[in-house]
Amino acid sequence: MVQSEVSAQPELIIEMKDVHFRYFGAKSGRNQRPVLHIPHWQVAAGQQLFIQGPSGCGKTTLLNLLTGMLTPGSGSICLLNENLATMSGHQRDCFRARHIGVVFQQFNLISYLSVADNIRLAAHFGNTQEKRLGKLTDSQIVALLDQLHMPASLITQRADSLSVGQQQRVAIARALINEPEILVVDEPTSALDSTASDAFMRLLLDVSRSNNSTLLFVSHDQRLAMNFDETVCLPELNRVATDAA
Amino acid sequence: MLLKVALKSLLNRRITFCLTVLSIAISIFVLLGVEHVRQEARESFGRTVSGVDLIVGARTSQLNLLLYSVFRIGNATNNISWQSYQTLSANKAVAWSIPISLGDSHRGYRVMGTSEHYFEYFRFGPQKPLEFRAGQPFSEVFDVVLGAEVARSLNYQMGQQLVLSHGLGKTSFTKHDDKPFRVVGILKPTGTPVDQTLHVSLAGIEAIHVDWQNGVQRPGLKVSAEQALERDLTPKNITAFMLGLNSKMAIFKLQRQINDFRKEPLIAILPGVALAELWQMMGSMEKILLLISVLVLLASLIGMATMLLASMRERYHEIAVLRAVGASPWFIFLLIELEAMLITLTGLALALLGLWLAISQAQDYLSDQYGLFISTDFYSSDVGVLLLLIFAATLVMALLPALNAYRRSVQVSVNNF
Repeated sequence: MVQSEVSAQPELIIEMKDVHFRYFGAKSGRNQRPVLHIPHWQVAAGQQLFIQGPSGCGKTTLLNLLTGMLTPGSGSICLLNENLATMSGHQRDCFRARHIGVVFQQFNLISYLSVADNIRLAAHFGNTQEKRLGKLTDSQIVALLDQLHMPASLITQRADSLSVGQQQRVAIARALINEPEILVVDEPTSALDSTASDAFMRLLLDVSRSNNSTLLFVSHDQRLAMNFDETVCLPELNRVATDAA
Repeated sequence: MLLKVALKSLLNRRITFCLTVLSIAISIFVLLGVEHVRQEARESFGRTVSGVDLIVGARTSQLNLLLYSVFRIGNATNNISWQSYQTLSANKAVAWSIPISLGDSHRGYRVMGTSEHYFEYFRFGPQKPLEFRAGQPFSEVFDVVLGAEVARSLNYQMGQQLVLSHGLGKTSFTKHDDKPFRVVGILKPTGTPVDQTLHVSLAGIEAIHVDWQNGVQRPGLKVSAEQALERDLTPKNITAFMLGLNSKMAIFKLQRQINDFRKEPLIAILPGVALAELWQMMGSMEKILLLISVLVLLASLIGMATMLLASMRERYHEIAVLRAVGASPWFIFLLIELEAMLITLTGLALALLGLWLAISQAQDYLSDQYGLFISTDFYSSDVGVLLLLIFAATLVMALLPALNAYRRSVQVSVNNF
């Protein structure tokens, strides 16, 4: 805190340098055409970013790279000053569990587990020696659900018995349970009506702010952009098209 | 957490889970059942007689003689004359002899005519002598000593009178009801065919047949029990006899002498050698049964692997969610392996329960009909090895769906949601 005041530079939480990525054809065994080339991109801690772009511009690929589900062909992706590209698969899984909360469009939860067990699952993977969170109690889960305006009675219910809106809110609870520094959200409102969507957005922005998480929100719905600190237009960031030309 | 997820995942697919468990349970039931019955049959046969050096009977195969004289299975081809028995048992190499006379029964249980030497010299299991639960050996002509199972199942008490039947059928119309026998002794359980046998004196057998000829009662001739006692009740024939020798060195020499006996065609067998021949005959059958059981189990395990593999498509989202919250591909791999193990463990528990119930119910029938004493204690080192092999086979069979899940979990990405 003192350091940031002295330097007046915000702490970087994400930094991508000269990242190239192309999918590997599972059947053909050949590299397919390049999908992403980001020369340089950085995000300061605590920012709430709206990442937009048309379908096929590489939004999902970017999220996969940032969550460590995919590794770049070249370049570096530093999250919290740790380079994902040099980590082993297991290290990336642990890093994701500890530092990144993920919310997707739908099917966020394991249908046959209860709400509490879905949340505990994330806590189980995030509960490592490096970041010991202790045993998650029901009261902690209830408190978190309460923060997301959900009744305590839901914790014993199976995930597939909830409405889509409730499932999305439980997904936020699960994403936040390990107090992640980064929250990655991919079109979470696509399955919600406009009222539920607005309520969800308010809730998401509030809890990510109160949790001091950096929020990366991906959507093609530009109406949502006004809620965020900054909008990133991925086609401008991704130089694949320019490279090809 | 891994166990919880695996359990709930299986319960979420409870119909396929139950059917797969049932299939595995049946196959393990068959496999363990065959193995257990095989072992118990061997043990049961092996402990039936001990300390007997030679068994002598009318010439037949050594297996047939062993089966009818010791296990009360099948019938003798011919009798031995009393003179031959006396001649051979008087041989200086012979320490003791036990004559056996078979052919009558009581409510399906075989009656054995013998001498008091039977209670003195006969041994079973690890050289254990016969012991009385109540009473003593027969001393009178119409005394009978009951095997433990006979007394238990027919609820006979000391002093009770019973009538023997001619022949071996369970239901007989030719009863020796004019010469009833009195229970003077009840033996302790031995876990051998002795338990299923009524023991009477050779004189008793002779007495009930004094007015019989060639298997039927002589017309017009009726001899009462009192009148029979006044007759000479020295037996004319016996079915077989057991010999204990003074020295083991003399066994083969005496065996040769008996096999070359000129007065009538006889055969002397070593019980251990005859048993070995029996196991040799049974061996290939046992192997075939075991092979069939193993194939049935393999088919069930393949069914389980197919079920797990088929569920992968519908579990893609589940895998993706697990990966998103930080599960490694190995966690996914272990999850599938654990599910397979849980299926097999549940199947095993059901199979053991079923086997215990089945054997508990069939114990009496098997001992009555076949002289087989099958215990409900399944555990043996061989069964332990089988269980380990079942678990190993489960892990191997689950490799295919587990590797499939592993591969999918490596390929999974955000757009799989």
